[in-house]
Amino acid sequence: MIKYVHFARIAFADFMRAKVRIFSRFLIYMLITWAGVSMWRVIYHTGHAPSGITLTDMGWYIGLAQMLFFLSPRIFVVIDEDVRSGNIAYFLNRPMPYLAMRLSEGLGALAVHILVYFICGAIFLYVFLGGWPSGGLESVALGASLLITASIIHLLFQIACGLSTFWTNDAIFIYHAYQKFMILLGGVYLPISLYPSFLPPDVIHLLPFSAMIGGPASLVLGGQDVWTILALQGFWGILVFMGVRSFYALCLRKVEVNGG
Amino acid sequence: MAGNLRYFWALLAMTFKSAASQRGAVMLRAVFSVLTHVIYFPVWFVIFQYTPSIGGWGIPHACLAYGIAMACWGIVSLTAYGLRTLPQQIDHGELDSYLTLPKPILMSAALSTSRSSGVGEVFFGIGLILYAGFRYHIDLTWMPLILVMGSVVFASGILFFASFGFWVRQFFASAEEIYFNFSLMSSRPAPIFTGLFKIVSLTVIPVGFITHIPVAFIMTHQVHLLILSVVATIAYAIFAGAFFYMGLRHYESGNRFGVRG
Repeated sequence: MIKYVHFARIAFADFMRAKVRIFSRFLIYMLITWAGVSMWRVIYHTGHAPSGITLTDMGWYIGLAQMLFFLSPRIFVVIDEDVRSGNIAYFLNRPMPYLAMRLSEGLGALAVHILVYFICGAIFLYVFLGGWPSGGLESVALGASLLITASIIHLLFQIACGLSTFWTNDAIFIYHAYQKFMILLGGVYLPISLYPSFLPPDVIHLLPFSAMIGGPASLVLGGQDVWTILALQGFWGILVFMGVRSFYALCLRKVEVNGG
Repeated sequence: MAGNLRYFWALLAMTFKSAASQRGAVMLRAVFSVLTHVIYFPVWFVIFQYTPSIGGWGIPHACLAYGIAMACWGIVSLTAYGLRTLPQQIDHGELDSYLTLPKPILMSAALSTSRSSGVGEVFFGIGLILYAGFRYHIDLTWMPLILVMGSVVFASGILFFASFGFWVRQFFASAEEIYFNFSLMSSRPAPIFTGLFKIVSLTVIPVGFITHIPVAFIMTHQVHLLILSVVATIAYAIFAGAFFYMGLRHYESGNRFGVRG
């Protein structure tokens, strides 16, 4: 177990050093959030404000929803590189599971991003939106806490995207597909409760994307119950973890077929 | 000049040949890519179901903007993928081999690396533009020019951000994130870009010249908007190229040594 802690610690130190990377990512986060909030500002000004949701609440929702994409490192790129370059063969000889190694590195980097986004992100949103949401600081803290568990599931999904390189020779388009699913079914641009009937909110709420994005973020709107979201995250987390393990076993057979 | 043009076509032909050699993977990517956008685009129907317009923008504008953004992204990925990997090429010292060639280094670096993605984006983007044209009776006469200009702005934007790799090491991951969000931002409605945000969208990250101003031209037929787009495209391309060559001087004097066995 201690070796995974060391991998996480090294990744933490590595990501902490990369100040330009942290800064540029945060800049993009601010820009994307700015765009999302600006869109809602125009909608509110034209008189189409959703009832019971203030612009500040909506801003915090958008800010937290976007945050999920920035909390986790882009671990699929590393796995994609390992597979395409053949370096994965060297890792397989080592006395540690490759996936656990990459996951612990991802968790180390996630810890850096949690520090940056929970502190700087909260300050940015507070200043930009001019205050806390109606649910107060407590609702933001709860939403942010659930984003941590959501980010771990996001890391597992990213690992699956990275492993797809064995067949596709390029993980990025698989990741983009997954990301677009998240945007539509996760409720990144607008809360799922406002979705039209052809995308029934009751069904979408049960999907992993909603449990990862819309669920935690909607806590600032006084939406879902914390325990329901946590239970959904637990269910999907276990399912995705088992799926990734089986997928990895399948990939290893592919490595043996190709000779590494 | 004629020699450079022949070299350009030869590199482009090589890129397509390379793509054709991996037909299965390319087709899979294309199908996946189209499916991805088919799944994603309804998000705008969801938003416009909720509000009839965003500052005057409706579904026809969204279709055109998303179609143009995706087609341009696809064209750049298909023909000049090397621009996207420029930070990696700089980090690995791969520009050395191009420096010895008697051909323009930028052309070699941009076209010599191929990953044959973008086919799906081109198909989807053009399909969406045609859908908008027929469904909402929009004149698409100027669309080819708009796609060429949009691709040039996209490529120049990628070149500009990738050139930061001359000064910042391991910039590839950050740059990729910037490019991807560049494409997403260009499909957002123009009216949401106001104040400082509007200045940014017309200068540093000129998404306004990829979609916003061309879409406004298509919908209103105001010729000055087209002229503005043409001038801005040329100016931004010159600026990005100059920035690259400024960085290249830095690279020439500070490249690392490596041994390959």
